[in-house]
Amino acid sequence: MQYFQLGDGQYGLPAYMAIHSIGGNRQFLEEAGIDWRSVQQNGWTYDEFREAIKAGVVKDASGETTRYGFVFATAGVTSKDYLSIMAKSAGLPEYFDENLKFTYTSKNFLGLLEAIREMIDDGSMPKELSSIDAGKRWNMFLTGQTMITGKGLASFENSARLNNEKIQANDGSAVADSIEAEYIALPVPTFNGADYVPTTVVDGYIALRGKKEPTEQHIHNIALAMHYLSSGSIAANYSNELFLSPITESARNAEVLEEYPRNEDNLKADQAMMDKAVAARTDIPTELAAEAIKIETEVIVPKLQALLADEITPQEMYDAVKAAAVKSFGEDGVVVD
Amino acid sequence: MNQMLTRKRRLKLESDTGWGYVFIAVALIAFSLFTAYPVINAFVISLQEYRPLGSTYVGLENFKESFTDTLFWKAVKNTVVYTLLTVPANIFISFLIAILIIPFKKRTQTIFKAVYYLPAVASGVALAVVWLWIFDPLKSGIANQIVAFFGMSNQNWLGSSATAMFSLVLMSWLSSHGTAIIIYLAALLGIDNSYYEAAEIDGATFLQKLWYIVVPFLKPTTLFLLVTGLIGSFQVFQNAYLMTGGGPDHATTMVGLLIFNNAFTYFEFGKAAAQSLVLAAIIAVISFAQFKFMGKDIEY
Repeated sequence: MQYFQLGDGQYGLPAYMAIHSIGGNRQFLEEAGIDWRSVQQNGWTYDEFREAIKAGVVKDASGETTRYGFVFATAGVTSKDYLSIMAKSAGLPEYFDENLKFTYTSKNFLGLLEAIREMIDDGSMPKELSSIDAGKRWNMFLTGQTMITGKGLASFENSARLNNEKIQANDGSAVADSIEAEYIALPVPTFNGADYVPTTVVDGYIALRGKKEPTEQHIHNIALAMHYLSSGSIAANYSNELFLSPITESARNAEVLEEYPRNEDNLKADQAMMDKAVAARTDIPTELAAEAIKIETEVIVPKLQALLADEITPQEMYDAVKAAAVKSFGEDGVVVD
Repeated sequence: MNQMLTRKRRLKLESDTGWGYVFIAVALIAFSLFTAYPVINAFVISLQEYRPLGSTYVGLENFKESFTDTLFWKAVKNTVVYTLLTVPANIFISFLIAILIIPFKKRTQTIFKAVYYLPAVASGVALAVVWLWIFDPLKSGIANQIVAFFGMSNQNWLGSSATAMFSLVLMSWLSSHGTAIIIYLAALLGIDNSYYEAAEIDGATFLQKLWYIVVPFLKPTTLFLLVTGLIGSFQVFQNAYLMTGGGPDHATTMVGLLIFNNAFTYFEFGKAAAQSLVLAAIIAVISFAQFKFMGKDIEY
C-alpha cells in the first residue's frame, strides 16, 4: 500500500509486484562454471559477478567477440534503468537518505560508476553498450550473443520458452538466427559491500482529481472501481498472463484461465528476490523528488551515456552529478562521505 | 422595423465586403482558435509557474532562467549546427534530383516524384525504426557493414558524441526530399523553353544554362525552401527524440526536444512556453533577415 501513498494520503491501490533483475542462458552459465542455483538463492558480489561475466565471453579465431558475458539495455531511457537497478544494491537504494539528503554524491556512487566502466573495459560488455536498446539486448540473448542480459523480468522465461518451441517446430516466426535458450532469473550483484536491494515495481491504479472538489460518493465509487480492478480474478488473470505477482490475497487465491509452465528454480529465485523488497518511501516531498528527476534527466542519464561511450571518466561523471546536486539542494542537502 | 433590419442585413451581405467577411470567417476562426489563442496563451503561461490546480505569476523569471541555463544555449547551438548542416545541403540535393528528373517523360517523372515523396507519407516513427536498424551499433548493422567495407572500424553511431549528430544529419540528407523535389520540378516546368533555345543558339553549355537561366529563375523557389526548411529545422524534435533522446551527454539535444522535456518530463510548462517563444523569436529574426538580404530582387 505504501507504493501508492504520499505522506498520509492513499492515492491509489496496488495490483501487482515485479522485480527488475537480470537473466542468463542456462547452458552458457554452466559452460562458464557458474553455480547459478547458488547465485539465485545467495546472490553475488560485484567481484564474483565480474569474474563470471569474464568467463562468459567467447571469441572467434580472429579474436573478435562472438558472445559477451553481460549486456544491459542502456540506449535512451533504458540507461536510467541500468544505473538505478544497479544503484539499489550499491548502497544507494533511493535518491534521498532518511535525512532527505541526496545520496548520489556519496563515494558509493563513484564506486558503482567505476564498476560500470570496468565491465566494458574488461571486454565483458560491448563497447557499443550505450546504443543497445531493450529489443537489441533481448535479441542478443536469444541469438546467443550474450550469456546474461538485463533488465530481466519473470515473463522473459516465457518469451524464451515460446521461442524455443518455435525453433523446435521449425516455425519461421522464431527470432532470426536464434538458438534454444533456457532463461535463468538472477539477482543483480551487490557493489561496495552493500546489501542486496531489488528494484521492486508495484503497479496499480491511481485516482486523479480535477479542480472541482469530488463528492464523498464519487470518491467511494472510484475506490470501489479500483478495488475491483486490482483484486480477485481480474488481477489474478492479467498478473498470470504477465508473470507478475498479485498483491491482494483474493487475486493470489483466484483461479486463472490458463496455467503456464514455470521453471521451479526461477520461481524460488523470484520469491527470494521479492523477500528482499523494501517498502516504498512516502516521506520524500514532491519538490525534492521533482528536482531529483530533473538532475536524473539533465545530468545523470546524459553523463552515463557519455561514460558508457568512454567519453568521460567515472570521476568526471561523479563530479558533474555532485555539482548539479549541490546547486539544487545546497551543500547541506547532499550526502558527504 | 424587423423587415427593415432584415433588408439591411441582406443588402450588407449582397455587397462584396459582406461576402468577403463571410468567406474569410472560417479561416479567421480556425486561425484564432488554433494559432492566435495558443500563442497568446503560451505568452501568458510563460509568465507563470504553471500548476494544473492554480498557477502563480512569476514575471520574466522563466525567460531569465532560460537565458542563464547552459543547457538551453547548448540546445540552441546544436539546433544551429543541425540547421546549417542539413538545410542548404538538402536544398542542393533536392535541386540536383529535380534536375535529373526533369528530362524524363511525364510518366517517368511521376514515378520518381511518388518514390521520393513516399517517406513524407510514411510515419516518422516507422522511419526512425528503420534508421535505428541501419545504425545498429554492432557489426551486423548496415552502416557498420558499409564502413567495414572501406576498412573502418565499428562505429557506435548514435551512442557516441563524435557520430550522433552526424548520424541525424545523414538521416536528413538521405530522406525527406519529396516536397522540395516536387516544388523544384513545378518551378522548372515554369521556365519558358525559349530561354534554353536562345542559350543553345549562343552555344551555352549545360552548366552555363543551369547557372545563367535555371538558378536565377529558381531563386524565389529556393528562398521559399530555405525559409520553410530553416523554420522546420529549428523546430526539429522527432528524430532527436526517437533516435538519440538528445544524447549522448546532450550532444543532440535540440531546442524542440528541450522544450518537450521541460513541458512533459518536468511539467515546467512556464519555462517550456518561455523557451518556445524565444525559439519563435529566433526563427522570426532569421526569416526576416533571409527575406531582407536574399529577397531583394524577388517578386511574388
